[in-house]
Amino acid sequence: MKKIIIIVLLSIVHITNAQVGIGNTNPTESLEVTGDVLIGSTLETNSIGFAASTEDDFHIISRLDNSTPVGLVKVLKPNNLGVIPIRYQRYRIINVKKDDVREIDLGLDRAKYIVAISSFKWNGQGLVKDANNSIGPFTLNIVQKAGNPNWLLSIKNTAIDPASTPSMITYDVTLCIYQTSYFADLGTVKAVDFLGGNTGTVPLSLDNDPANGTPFILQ
Amino acid sequence: MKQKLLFGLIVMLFCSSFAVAQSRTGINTTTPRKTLEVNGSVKITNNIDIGTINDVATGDTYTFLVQEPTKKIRALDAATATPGNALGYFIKYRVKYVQGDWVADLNTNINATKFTVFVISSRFTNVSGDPDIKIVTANGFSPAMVTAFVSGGKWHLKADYPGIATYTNQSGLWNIKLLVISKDLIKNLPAQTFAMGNSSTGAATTPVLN
Repeated sequence: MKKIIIIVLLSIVHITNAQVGIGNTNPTESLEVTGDVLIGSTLETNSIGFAASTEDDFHIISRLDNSTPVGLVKVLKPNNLGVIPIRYQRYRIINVKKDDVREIDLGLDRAKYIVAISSFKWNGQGLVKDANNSIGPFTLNIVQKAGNPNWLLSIKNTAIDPASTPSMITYDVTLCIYQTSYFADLGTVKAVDFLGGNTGTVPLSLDNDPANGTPFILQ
Repeated sequence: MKQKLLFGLIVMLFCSSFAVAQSRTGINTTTPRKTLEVNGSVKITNNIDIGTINDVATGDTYTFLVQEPTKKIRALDAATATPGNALGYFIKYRVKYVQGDWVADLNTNINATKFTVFVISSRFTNVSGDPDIKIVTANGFSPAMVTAFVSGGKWHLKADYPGIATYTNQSGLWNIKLLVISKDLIKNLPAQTFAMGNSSTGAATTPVLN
């Protein structure tokens, strides 16, 4: 019986010149496994090495939560996926009422995404100053609205309008859409009162994250 | 005799912690589910090569793998982990009772050696958050300027309609949204200057990336 075990062992686990092969007879590294490897606990490596400074064809390694057993290692290729860390999305907004896009519901769930304005282009005529010489304010803004789970986009100048209607003003907006699996929403608005002046500092009381008392992580 | 001892040792060693079944090898397990299953931790002094590594598919749920200073490989889970584990952070400031429309300097106290700040959206209103505030100019026009800069190792913000005032110098409120990205993920390239030579078009002679 022992002999059988040893024979089986020798046929699968090969130990030569301080190199171990599993599923092969000619290991080329200290341990070579021809097949899959499953590690029950942590993996530690002393010299993982850095990618070369000129290497621009690398992929991010990911660990799956939904494999059986859990923890299958795969590579992330954004173009193949529905869920990716960052998206680059262009929008064109046409047939605008005067210059005002009070709000567009982008249909992007705030729980899943953070939306950043990356680029903006105004196409069309200028606006006319009012009797008080007002030119604005013009605002280009991503908006969170109570009761709406999605991001809204707002582009408008509430004070003044184009001289003629229809205005033929169109907007090109590029957004970067970040997945909240990777980018955290720090939540509450940090309020700073300038007391009529033009300089101020975010109070150091923000050192403490009110949610759990841990040090505010951006310091 | 020596051979027999070695033989016995190997048998004892393998029977106690090594299990081999159906061409699979288990360490600390008798039911290996893969070619090699280690029921415990693994430490590798040098490198790891993986011959086949499949692509993440749509519908998979996954986390990024990172290496900690302890050399351990860990998963980065921004969604559920404590703050400090994300690739970046979304943060909103509401700066009120500013001098007209002018925020000359807001020190965010965000550490510039650890993070890079992007202004991703902004809005100027009156102090009650109502957009009904007027920016007036007798002559020129300038668009809103909201920018982030580094001073004293911290990120600061400026927000202004340069050269322009609010109607009757009414004090206003700036809403500024930032995306703060960890320097683990981002490399700040040196500033580039375009000398336009009085022309309205230009081109990078040495592109920062190519």
